[in-house]
Amino acid sequence: MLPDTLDQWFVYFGHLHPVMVHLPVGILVLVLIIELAFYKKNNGSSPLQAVPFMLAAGCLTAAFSCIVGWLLSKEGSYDESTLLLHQWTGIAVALLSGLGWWISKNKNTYTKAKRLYRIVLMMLFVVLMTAGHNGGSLTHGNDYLTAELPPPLNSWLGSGESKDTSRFLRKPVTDINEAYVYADLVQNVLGDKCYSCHSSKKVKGGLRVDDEKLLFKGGKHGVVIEPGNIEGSELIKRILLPQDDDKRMPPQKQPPLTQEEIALLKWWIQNGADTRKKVSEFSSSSAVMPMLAFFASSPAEDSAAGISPLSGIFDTELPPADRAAIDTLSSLGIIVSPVAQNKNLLEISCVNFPAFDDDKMQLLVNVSDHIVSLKLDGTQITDAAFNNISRFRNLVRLNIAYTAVSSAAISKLLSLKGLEYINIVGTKVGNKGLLELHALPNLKKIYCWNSMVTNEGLAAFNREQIIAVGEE
Amino acid sequence: MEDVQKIISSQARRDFLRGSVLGLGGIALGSLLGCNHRSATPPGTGGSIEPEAENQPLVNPHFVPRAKRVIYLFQSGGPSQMELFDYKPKLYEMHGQEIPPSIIGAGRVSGMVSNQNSFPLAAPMTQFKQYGKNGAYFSDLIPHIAGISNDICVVRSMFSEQINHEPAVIFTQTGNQLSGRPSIGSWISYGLGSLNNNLPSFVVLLSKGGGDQPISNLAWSNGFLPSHHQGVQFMSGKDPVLYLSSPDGVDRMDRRRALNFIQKFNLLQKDKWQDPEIDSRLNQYEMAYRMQMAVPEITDLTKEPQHILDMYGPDVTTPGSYSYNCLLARKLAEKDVRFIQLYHLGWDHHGKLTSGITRATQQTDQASAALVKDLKQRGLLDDTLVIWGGEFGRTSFSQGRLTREDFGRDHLPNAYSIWMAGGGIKPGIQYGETDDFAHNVVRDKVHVHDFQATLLYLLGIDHEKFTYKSQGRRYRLTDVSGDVVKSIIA
Repeated sequence: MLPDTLDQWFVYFGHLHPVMVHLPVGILVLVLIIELAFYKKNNGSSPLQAVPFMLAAGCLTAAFSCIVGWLLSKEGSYDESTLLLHQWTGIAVALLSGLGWWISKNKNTYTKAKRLYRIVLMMLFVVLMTAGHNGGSLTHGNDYLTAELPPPLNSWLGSGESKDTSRFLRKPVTDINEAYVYADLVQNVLGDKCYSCHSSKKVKGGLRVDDEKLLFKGGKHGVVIEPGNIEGSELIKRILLPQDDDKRMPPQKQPPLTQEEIALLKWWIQNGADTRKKVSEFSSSSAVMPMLAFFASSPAEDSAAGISPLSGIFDTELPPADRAAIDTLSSLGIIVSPVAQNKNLLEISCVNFPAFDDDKMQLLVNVSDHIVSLKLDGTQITDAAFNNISRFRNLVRLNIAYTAVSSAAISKLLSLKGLEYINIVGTKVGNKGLLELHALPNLKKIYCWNSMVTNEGLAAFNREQIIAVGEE
Repeated sequence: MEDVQKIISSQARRDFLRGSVLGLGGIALGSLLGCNHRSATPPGTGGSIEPEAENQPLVNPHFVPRAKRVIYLFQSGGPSQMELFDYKPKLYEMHGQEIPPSIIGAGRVSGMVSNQNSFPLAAPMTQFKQYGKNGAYFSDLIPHIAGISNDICVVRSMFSEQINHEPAVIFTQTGNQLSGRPSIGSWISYGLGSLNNNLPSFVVLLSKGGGDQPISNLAWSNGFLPSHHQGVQFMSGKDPVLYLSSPDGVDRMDRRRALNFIQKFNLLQKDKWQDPEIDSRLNQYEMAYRMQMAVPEITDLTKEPQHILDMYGPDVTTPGSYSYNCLLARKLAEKDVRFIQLYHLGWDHHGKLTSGITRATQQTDQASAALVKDLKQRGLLDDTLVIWGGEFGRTSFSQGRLTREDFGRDHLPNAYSIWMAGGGIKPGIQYGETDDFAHNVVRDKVHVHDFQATLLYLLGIDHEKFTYKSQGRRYRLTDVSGDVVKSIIA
């Protein structure tokens, strides 16, 4: 019974710390202001009568703050290094104000050690500010002061991005079955929910989870992961504690782990907390499926739902296309747009520039690698436009409807291995050109209505997997 | 003398007030304007638009889209699902009998039939046949749509939350039953922008000769989005876009000079107020100027060959008819207009259903099918999503007396049918199923928000990430629900 009550008293006094600390801060700052204000008038003998008393009061309240502060530090999970600095600067405040009081309390010592007194006061100011600032950082977080800086100051201080650096970015997973459970999935979850306090940035409770060795080493209370034993693993226990429990992780104000994320961690520990195996090598479990589905980027999920994947070309990683080349095209009224966000592949449309002709094709060569869709319907191009077309190696969709293009141009398209869609509606392309399209391995759709292609030509073409729409 | 005193004292008070307003107000204004040029919305501009820093259009879709354009053939009034797409043999057998109470259950019926004490089932006024590779049933009323059954996906399991026209239309078009939110077209126009700089990205076509239920222009409203994203209505007749053409004798260059001059004024005002609506206005002026060239070309149907006109049916030459608008829609799609919204009224058959639905289908069947065929032969159906559907369905029981000659059907939000084609939709399938009375969905329910989420998905947009913050809340087209119906995506 007794230790419990004692504990409660400790906690109670600990919570007095935030109230207490403001007393010494206020008192001692006032001392410094008085000393500054009366610096000239007072250079004769001793300081104002009230000053020694105030220093004594500052010293006592600071000391009391230190004690209750120490009690408080026992219960919370604070950032170790900041806490340590706060602790010692706090103690320094008490000691320095005590020293100041001792020097200033009688004329004798003061006149002898006036210079020392002033140095003590200056040091007091420095440690007081440091202690105060660190205390603020401990309770409100490191970026409390700077987070809401107005933009001009913010950029001036060079901390414009500071708000976002703590945000952990998930690594993309391309093929879920080939993903490493630990490196690709577990670390993703830990990174999202735990790194902010348990990584190289901060090491609360002596635990770091961003490093394999340190994660298995555990924190100051011991090992947190017992391979194969969910119930025995402190990591899981802490996560599952009720929300208002002080030992629960992540603490109350931080976003908690979702049920799916917890299922993933459990699954990993259950399977021996292996750090080298892939998803396919783990025994599958229905509980973990939602999380795996989440990690599997949309293509895998889509194919599960029966959605046919888009051309692999859309996944091609390319450096951004030449800005100047795009600007030249745009200035002519040619619409150049990235195929999607975070993709550098381009779609080109001449819907607003029907004067586009063979010579202008040269302008596209500068961005030839990037073009996946080329819409040239109704333009002035002829067969000659396609002399350079083989360089458009990522072309998936080509629309040359209602142009003067003829069968002769088709042979030049045969190097476009990724081409899936071609629209030759209203062109002079005939049966001969259509037959040549046979050579394109990935072609899926041909639109040749209103061209020279006849029903006989279509019948002769007849290849499976290709939908050819034309004369009826 | 007293009066003079009064004036003097009031002036002093005024001076004091002015002083304090200028002083304190200045400080307050400073914080309002802030360092990042955030400005208070000036009074009298609707006040709904705040230049929120986070309100940035997507510009590019979230992921590679399957559809680039949408043509939405809205059939306003509530087309009867059991007269068109949802074949229910049971209804013929049970004609005249009461609908089982278990089917209606606690479900809502409208005020128009709530004091009816008999709910006799009415057999569909038409017969059904099987069509296409999947043998789907289509009614004899829609032979042309039945003819493209291999190209379309019929969703028979739609359901809505609204039982009256206006809220149900607004719900389907904006994701919320109360008007005031942006419509689908406005969201798309705002999010993805235009594919053609000379035409608006959201065009509205209202067909004439439908019925008596009016449609409010709130259905194509921009809501809280900048106002140049509202649907641009093309009228039938000589001037498809009102006030677009220059008055006789006014040269295009004069127009340009006038616009440049007005622009200077607007930019001055914008510097002063920082009102984003001024940008909208500038955009609209410039768009109108460019449209002066582009629109006449599109609305000129004289160059269409006769066999194309024949496809769309006899009404095609009547400006403002549904057929005419379908052909116009194809031409707009050819020119890469992002979102083309048609409305056809006249599906609200509370009584005399037989004649009403015959008329509605005669007006719409051939042209709807022709549009899909025409887009397909031009290679446009691949990346153009065509949607045919209304705001809710109709009851299998008769509204009013069931006579030998005729009957009516009341509104039914529980179940209705729509169809979609192209733009990444699986062709030639039927999705979802209703009970024997087409009254409740029994398999693969598709909520209005699911439909909207799917539409956005096809355009490469994640509906959960596509938001706009207005008056302190982030809004989505799909509000707070909606799942992409992946089973109908090719």
